[in-house]
Amino acid sequence: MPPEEASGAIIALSNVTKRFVTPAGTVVALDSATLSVPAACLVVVLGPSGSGKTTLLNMIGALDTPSDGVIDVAGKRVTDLRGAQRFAYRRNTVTFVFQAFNLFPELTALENVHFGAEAAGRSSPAEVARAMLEAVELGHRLHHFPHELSGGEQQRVAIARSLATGNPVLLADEPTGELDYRTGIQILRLLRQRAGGGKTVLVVTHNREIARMADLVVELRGGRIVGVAPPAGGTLDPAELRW
Amino acid sequence: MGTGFWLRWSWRGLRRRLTQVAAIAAIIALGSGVYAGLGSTSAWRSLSLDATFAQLRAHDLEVASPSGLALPAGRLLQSVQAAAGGAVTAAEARLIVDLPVRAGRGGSIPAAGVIVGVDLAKGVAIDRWKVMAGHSIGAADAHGTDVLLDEHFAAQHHLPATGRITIAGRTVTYVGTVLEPEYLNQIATLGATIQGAATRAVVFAPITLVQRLAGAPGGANDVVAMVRPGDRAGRVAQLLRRALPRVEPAIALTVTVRRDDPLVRALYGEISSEQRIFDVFALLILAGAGFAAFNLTRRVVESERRDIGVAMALGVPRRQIAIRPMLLAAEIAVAGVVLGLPAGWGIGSWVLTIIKARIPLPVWVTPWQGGLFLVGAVLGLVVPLAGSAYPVWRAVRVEPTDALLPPHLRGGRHRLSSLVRRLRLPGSTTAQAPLRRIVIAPARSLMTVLAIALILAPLLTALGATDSTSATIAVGNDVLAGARGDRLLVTLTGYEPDRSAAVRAITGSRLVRQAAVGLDTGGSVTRGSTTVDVSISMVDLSNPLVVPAALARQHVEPGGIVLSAKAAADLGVRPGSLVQLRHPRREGTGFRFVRTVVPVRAVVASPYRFVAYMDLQDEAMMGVQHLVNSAVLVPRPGVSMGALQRAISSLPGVASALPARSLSNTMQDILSVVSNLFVLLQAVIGALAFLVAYNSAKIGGDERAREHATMLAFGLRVRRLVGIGVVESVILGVLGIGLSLGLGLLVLRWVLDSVFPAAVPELAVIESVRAVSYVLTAVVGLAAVTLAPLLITRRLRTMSLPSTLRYVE
Repeated sequence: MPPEEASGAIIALSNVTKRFVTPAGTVVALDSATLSVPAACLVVVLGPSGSGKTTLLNMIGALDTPSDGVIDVAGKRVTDLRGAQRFAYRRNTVTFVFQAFNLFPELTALENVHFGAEAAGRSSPAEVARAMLEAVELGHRLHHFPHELSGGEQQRVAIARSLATGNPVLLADEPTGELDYRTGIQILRLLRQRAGGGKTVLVVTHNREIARMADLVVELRGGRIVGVAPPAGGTLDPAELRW
Repeated sequence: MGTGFWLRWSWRGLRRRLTQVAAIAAIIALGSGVYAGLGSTSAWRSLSLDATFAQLRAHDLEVASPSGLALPAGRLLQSVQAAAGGAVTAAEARLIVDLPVRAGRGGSIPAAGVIVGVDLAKGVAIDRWKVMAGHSIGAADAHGTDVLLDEHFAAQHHLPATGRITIAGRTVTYVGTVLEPEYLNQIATLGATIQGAATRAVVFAPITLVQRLAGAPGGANDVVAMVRPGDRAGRVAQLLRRALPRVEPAIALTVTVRRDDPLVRALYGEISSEQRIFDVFALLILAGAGFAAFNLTRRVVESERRDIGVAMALGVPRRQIAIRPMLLAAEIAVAGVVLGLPAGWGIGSWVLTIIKARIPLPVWVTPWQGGLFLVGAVLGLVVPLAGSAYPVWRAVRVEPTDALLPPHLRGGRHRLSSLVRRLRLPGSTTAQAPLRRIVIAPARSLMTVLAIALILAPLLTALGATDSTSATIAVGNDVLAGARGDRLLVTLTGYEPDRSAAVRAITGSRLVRQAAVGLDTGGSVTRGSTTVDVSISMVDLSNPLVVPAALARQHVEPGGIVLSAKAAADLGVRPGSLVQLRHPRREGTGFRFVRTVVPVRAVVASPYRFVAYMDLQDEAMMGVQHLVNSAVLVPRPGVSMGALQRAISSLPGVASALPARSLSNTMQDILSVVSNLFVLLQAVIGALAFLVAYNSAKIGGDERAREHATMLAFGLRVRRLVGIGVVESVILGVLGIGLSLGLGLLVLRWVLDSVFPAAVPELAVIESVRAVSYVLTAVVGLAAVTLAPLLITRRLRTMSLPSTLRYVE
């Protein structure tokens, strides 16, 4: 039985280390990270640039493999997955929101979200896609191409695409990094709502203010987890955040 | 920023794009290599021919008895020297006779033999031979029976260096295979008697042996001579033509300057005519490769347009902005030129091998064709530089914000966006992706389609040209040989009375079901300023055994000539028109060419220009009566063509007996250089198509790296992504193939209408493209476009998803 099931956690990391070998020497991006994330909560992974937070996210998302350690997510031992299993894991367990949106330029907003639903094998992907775009308040932009949308709208489409997969874990890498404050708050509110709706949302950011809306804050520094705790002063509504 | 900075930066870029630079350079190299390799043949072939003639001391002049009548050798030599009055420094008498030859195991290879008797006792200093295998014969063999066999015949039939052959039934030993300048071209000009050209074995033998075989002891019928240094062969020939009738009034001797010899003219003529065809294909391939290289370089630079935007935003002067993309272009150009040298050398060597197989000259002079390589190199330099300059020029003319736009946001800005929006395609978004990618970037798609079409079009043109010439030969053979082709064409060693014992032995053989005799001769037909060489068959024009059935049904009146449709078209004549016929007329014991005005009686649908018929009743025009020199035989039921051929070949007075169908081999041989080079072109075009498709897929992979990474992050399998690429590539490929078939046919039509008539005037090539040629073109194209995307599979598998996804534009 994977340890996270025993503890009720949906994500569990045990002594996860990631080393990169470069011509200049070995860089330890993540050093013996151990972490347990309960289901249906919003976790903010906080840290300065180069602290290893994106590396952590990539390994939870099976975009990268750890050098050492064990990762379990939603009952699956990610570190044991190979080849097709990793693809299936990404299709059905986790989903991503990227800082640079990464929408498909040839597809409209609706089609981009449709892709997410289809990739995860959901039934009636067209209805799901439409519903998700309505949910992120883009019902009036269904047939617009990415280049016809603002940055905030593009990121909302990207979130809708991730949500359309129906996967239990949403991994967001600096989702507000390219957005202004107002739009950023809109996005965070969406993510908060998803966590409230039963998803587990991991947000990677260097913005300390964002950490205040989390249920749990994981702080990284120099590749090491230096703190795991709820935010001091309790969880705020995204509308209360200021930066 | 100094030069070192830019070079360093460019060097790093080169290391990253090394495969791509090499692949684009390979396209340039193949294009310029084909251009240099194919474009240079006429220069070195002419040089090689000149060098061969010089090394083997080819004669300047030839004096011959056209009827083949032999005179005492000493007298013939003396007559020539006396007539030349010191203008001839060396002369050698020969006896040349046509006799049937059989070679191979058990005499299984019958051939029309040309037996050249030379005086070995005095030594051979003119028209010397080059021993290719075995050994030569010399003074010690002057009275023996050892002979030499022509290398063409030996090679064609894979005969060993030494062996036994029979000449007119007598077995002799050939001790070597040789090349001799007078017989370098095994294919007689098409104006000569075609039957003689079918399968000809030239044998060099002691003159005493040939005299015995021909029943002409001490005789000779040919003199080869060298003129005094500084004198012109043409002037000496004129002198001889004036003086010889006085010295030898009883015989009409002909004097030919080597350069005017139809065989020599044919040798030089085919060099230039074949070059015209090669030039067309060399230019087509160069254009296709150039366009592809331009397009690919443009796409590579285009994919880095954002760097230009950044530089513009930073205020870098435009000239400096252009440095890096232009350095990339220069790297491609230099690599293309460097690779072009071995490519050109390799293709040139291949071409040389093909030509050597057809005309195995003893001396090959292949100097460095600097001029052509320079043209190829200049084009190789200009194309990538232009391909790079264009996107740079475009990028520096827009606002930096536009130049800065990442590729994934630039794609959908076209007017076709609205069309894509309205597209209601079946299937999932990934199934729709290939078509959407094509439609969203129409310019890029169009350029790719054009590049594929331009590369493949010459392939269909080359295949179509081969098909058309083969179809033309088949039609021509049906005219010459009859649709059933079950006839034996017999050539006699000389003129025979049509009721002579020799002729009766042939036509009355118990193996023969049907026979017809005729008189074959060469000549020419002139109308206005146009002259056409013809091979005239004087036969019974109402006999379908010897003329095409359609002609036999027309009941053509005697007293005129029947021309081929091609000759009639070239001369601009039709039935009833008058033409001037140059033909031999018997005078004394020899023949002299005279001109007679005759009407065109009919036109026969033959693609061979040389085909001409006259009624046997008109032989009085030739100054002869009831004389024949050929026969056409049909075997009795149950008698094989081989059996009839063996039986007839052994009869006295028979020079050759060959199945009519063997003519197609001769015609195919004439066109073998062109046909074999088309095979080379097919290989080059296949490689070019693959390189273009590979580059296109590679650049597409670069442009779509983020898109692919996102799809992989969403759990799509690599094979699905490759599948999308393959489908996209195949759609573009199918469009390109469709366009290439249309283009290829257009070019083929132009080649057949404009290039072939000038290059091969003897043939009216019929346009005919077999279905298999269309299929082959499509298969080559489809294979290239389908396989190429598979090559990026590894790259997709090893792609670093985190870094690709995280890259912020």
